[in-house]
Amino acid sequence: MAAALALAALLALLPACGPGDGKVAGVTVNYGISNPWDSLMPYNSISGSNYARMIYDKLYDRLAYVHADGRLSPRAAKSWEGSEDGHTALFHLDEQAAFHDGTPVTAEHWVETFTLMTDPACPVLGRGNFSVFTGTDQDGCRVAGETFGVEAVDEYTLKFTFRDPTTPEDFLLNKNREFYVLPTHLLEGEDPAGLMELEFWKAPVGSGPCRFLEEVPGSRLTLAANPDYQLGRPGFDKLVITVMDKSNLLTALIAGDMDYYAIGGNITTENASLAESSGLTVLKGTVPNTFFELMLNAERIPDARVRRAIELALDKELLCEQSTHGLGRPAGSSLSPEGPYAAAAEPAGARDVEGARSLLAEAGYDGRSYTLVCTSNRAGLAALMQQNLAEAGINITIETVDSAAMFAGMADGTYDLGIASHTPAALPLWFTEPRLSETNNLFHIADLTPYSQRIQAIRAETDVDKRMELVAELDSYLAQERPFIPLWFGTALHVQSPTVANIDYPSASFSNENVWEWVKE
Amino acid sequence: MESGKRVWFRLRSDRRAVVCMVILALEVLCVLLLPPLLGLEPNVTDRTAGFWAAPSAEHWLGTDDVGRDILARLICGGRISLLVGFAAAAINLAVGVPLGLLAGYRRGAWEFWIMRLADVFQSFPNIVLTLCLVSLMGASVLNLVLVLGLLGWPGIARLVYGNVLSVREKEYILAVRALGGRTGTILYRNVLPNAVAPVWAALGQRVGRAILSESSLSFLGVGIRPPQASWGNLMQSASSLAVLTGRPWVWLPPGLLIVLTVVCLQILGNALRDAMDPRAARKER
Repeated sequence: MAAALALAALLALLPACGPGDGKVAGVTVNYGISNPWDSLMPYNSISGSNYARMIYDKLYDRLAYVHADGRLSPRAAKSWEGSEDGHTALFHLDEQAAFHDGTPVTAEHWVETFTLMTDPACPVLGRGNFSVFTGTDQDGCRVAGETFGVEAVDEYTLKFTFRDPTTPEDFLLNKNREFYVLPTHLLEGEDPAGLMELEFWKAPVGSGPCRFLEEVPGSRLTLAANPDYQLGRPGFDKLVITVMDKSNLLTALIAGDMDYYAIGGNITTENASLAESSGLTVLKGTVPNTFFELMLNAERIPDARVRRAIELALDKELLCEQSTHGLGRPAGSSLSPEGPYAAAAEPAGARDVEGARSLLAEAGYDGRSYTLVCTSNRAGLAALMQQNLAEAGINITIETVDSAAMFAGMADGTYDLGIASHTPAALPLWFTEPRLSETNNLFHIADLTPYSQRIQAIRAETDVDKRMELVAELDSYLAQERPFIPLWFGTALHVQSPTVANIDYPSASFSNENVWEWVKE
Repeated sequence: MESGKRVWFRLRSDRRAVVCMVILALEVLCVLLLPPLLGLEPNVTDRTAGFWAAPSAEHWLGTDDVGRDILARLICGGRISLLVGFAAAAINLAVGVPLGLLAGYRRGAWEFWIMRLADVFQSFPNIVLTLCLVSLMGASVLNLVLVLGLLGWPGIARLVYGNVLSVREKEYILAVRALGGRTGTILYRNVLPNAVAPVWAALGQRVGRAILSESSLSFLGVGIRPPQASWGNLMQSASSLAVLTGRPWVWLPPGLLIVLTVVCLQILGNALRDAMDPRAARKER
């Protein structure tokens, strides 16, 4: 009774937080999002968040569509092929693709976009992504006198030349969400230095499945379906994207004020039964979409035996259960258990408190206390870890901060341990490569050479079997050194839209949504 | 100065105050004595019961998201909440009363600087300032007490200041001054007893407000450091829709205890003010 009353009261309050006057004529899909986009220019996002990417995904086109299981489907590119040495890739563009002003999208548009974005004078955010191409420096700026690795072979064939061997599939899995084609024919003659300040970005023209209609910055964005999108016309007329507090998304869906919410209608196990009792269908994700790890500061915990002891002391089964409520599996590696390199992954291993104590004694652990940092919603998880570690004789104190402060604190060495989660990818180096580099030595490893040599060897190896061996070797080394502790992979629950069909919920975790296939009933 | 016995007698004659005193005394006794007597372990996970277990004979209020006994956390959390409340109010008093006395009695530059400082403190939204300071200093019981205590003095100082302004012009104060009484003695023996009575009523409010502030900060995730329990961070779980609608036993008891404590403190503060008012004593005579 109390539950029903509380829910009724919440639902009664909802009309005030709904889309309100944002409702427009025609078939409208009301889309909720918990964080606002910071710009409508895809290369000018300060946050670089997945929420901003969800907006760009609608307005602009990407080369491919990435499925949750690692499969790739055509989008702006119909097909692609890589060279034998892995240094070049050809993308055959869809001739039907056109900007919202009717101009066909050609390879030249892609080249001009990439040329503009790698111009050192242009204040691009996230330019480092372009450093994969030859002719750029490590910041992604074009280097004068060198040939830029992005060329138009013909009107509809785009050629990329990579600095390191990369298959087009790996490139797309890793970078697809970072690259969009811009209507450079509308930007001709503009000063690159002032590009981001143009009025154009207040009502941009893209070539994505939706066209811009109007925006209330930070609050609401109204888009229209692009009837000429090369993959098909979305099954609605308008898409109204409204920013709402995260805690209101589910209640808005239950109340019928919302058709769908980002990202992927994700829902906690706790709220799943509530959603089901309200008549909504809850779907279980098909592949792991969350990877939890315990970050370690190797400068503060220099002995690998202590780091391994921490891993042995943790009850990963229990922690995984507390966090995922049965929707996860403990991990001993960052390699996705459903990915192509799963066979190379180290097993999770069982909890061994005695083994942890022995390692600590061997390492001469002096009983010092470490600081574990996490976001406040993971305080319970941290408390469980504290109990686990105390049983082995390791003392920790817990600090709860926001996510940005946590990563900043881990980077500057303020904290010793930290709980973080990530969206896993099928690539073998998706986790290790960005975190074990000179530019981002998040785990404060004194000598990165053993890691960078192994990573480089994997990148250079194009033979599948040999690459698998190298990946297994790196994973084994990681298990020995333990710069971070893999905890578990979790699978999401998605609450199904009661009004919109054909939504590919799991793939939303990979920053793309198949809106051209959505149909509002 | 009023004798303690007389104040106690007057306080006892107020039935509502007695009931509130008994409730508060019971609360304090429970949070202090029950944990060692019953061997309560608020930070230990019961793996058998599991996470979010419903109330049972073993766990009267069920278990939380980590499998910890909610009743044990409620009782032990009361220690923190009451400690924060009383300690912050004591700091309010220790800083606010002397500054209010000085500003009201000495006037001039003392009055100007103390009251302008109070204006500065009061011009900031209290919860925002508290949130920022606790975030900067780090969440701990000590920091929370210091921040809440040091930010709450202007209200007490203003209250005392206002009363001192009228008391300092009374004939008996002028007489003591004319007889050559020292400022410190006049303030302590003559001004303070006649100006401080309303502070007792405010003190109850202060304790209640500090408990509520701790609860708000814990609810926002910047209160007490985990895994320590407080009534505020027990309430925090109600931010989940599933807990709010499906597990009232998790958030209702701490919520009720916060309300009960604040109401009792308010009633007791009013009764204490009346009991310590020297004018009440004169009426009795």
